[in-house]
Amino acid sequence: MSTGSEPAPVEGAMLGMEPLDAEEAGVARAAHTMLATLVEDFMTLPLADVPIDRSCYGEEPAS
Amino acid sequence: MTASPQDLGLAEQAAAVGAGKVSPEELFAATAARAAVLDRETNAVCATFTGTFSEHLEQAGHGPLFGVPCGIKDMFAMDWRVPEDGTPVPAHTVGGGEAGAVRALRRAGGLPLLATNLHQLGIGTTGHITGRGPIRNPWDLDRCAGGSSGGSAVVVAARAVAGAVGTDAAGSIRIPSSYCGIVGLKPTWGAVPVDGYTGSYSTMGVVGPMTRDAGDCRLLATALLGREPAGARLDVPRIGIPRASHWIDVDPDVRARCEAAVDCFADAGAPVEDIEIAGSGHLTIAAIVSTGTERLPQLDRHWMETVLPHLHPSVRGLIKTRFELSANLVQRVLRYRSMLRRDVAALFDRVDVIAMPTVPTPPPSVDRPRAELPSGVTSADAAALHFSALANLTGIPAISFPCGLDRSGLPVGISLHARWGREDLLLDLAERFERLTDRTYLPPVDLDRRAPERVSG
Repeated sequence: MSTGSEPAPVEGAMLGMEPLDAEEAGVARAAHTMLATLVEDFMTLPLADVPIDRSCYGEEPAS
Repeated sequence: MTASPQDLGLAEQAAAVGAGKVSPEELFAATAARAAVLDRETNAVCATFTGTFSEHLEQAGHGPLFGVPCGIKDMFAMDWRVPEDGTPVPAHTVGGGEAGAVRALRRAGGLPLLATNLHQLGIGTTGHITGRGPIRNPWDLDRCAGGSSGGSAVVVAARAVAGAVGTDAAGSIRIPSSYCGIVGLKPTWGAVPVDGYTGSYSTMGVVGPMTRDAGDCRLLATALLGREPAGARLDVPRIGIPRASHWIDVDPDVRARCEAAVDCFADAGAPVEDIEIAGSGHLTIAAIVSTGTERLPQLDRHWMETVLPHLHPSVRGLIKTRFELSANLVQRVLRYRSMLRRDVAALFDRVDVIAMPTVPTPPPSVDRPRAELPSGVTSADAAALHFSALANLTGIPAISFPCGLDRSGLPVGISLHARWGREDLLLDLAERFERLTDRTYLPPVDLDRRAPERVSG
């Protein structure tokens, strides 16, 4: 099944993941394209000084 | 009785059993017959209980749902079913025994007898990729039922059962509920037990009810939560509208139906004000990163060898892509969620609920699931996540209920979000909307008429 044309992600390969076959690679490329735009925009959001929320997700956040 | 007891709602079925007008055995027989017909059309059902019914019934609690069959998404361990998680392979990661949500349902007397189909591994909003064919929408079989809890939405909408259990890690209860014209509640994160659920590791995922009306949704929510949703009653709720981020780039029919729903509350006295959700442009990427990476530690060498090769190529591709998301990105999303939760908590000092269309378009086509927005054509998943992710990223409850039909006669849903723990307010408002509009939505299917020809064919 695998064409071996695209390597598996490093951690995936450690777990025995096969290299991406042609269909998987097509999906991966499309996902990369969409994510690239979203991530580029997301990286502009200033988050360095945001306090870490240590409350449970089922509750209101601690101030 | 009507021609089929499945046409009754959840509370009505329970009342009919209690009054001796129909037996649990008759109800289950009718459920199984309809489910079989429905499944041929829609691929909504993974399995129907085939064990000894009397033994199953004996173990049910004598609660408000006694003797009523329900659907449950195929992500939960049951004594008669190892869930397959939308794949062709049983998910042995859930361990033995019965899932917490199943126990809760059975304590209330409900009978989880239909395992319903889902988008593979629950990682899609369309439901067109599953282990057994696309889940088709009973309003139009060429349209997606939605995902990932598409099978649960279909069995409720098409009246095989009156209530079903779904899960929602990025809109997976609300999106198919909107596409199929039913009511779906995403409870507050952590409110319903998640042991024995294949997504139990998630800080995004919750278990919740899917029904044909808000009263039944309250009934099933009470069973799953283990308590009746309660809180201070609000006669005049303040409604917040995130107009710039969630009401502009929306299909015109969807927007018109949702605006009419808000007007309905406003006419009844509810103050409505525009609000802004800080950082709302990043909801989609945050949901993708959160849901995509939280699963990764579950994927061990055994899973790679036994499950991954059996998945749809597009799902395999997505899984492999997610191993490449950077640690920086994951950590930034955690901080973003902290920021978002604080901002939303502050918003709930000004308004009681946040309203938006559940999804920005009508259900997409099965053959080409894309969202046609005023700004252009995009992925149906990305379009839907922008609307659904707020509740999952913050943990707040949200409800979707039908508010009209579009130009093609397809259902449109509106979502309300409330402060943590205020499921009661969401159910109150959904019930109030149903009273104000006096309208319910059922897909134009006639399963009883179809049954003979399908069975003989």
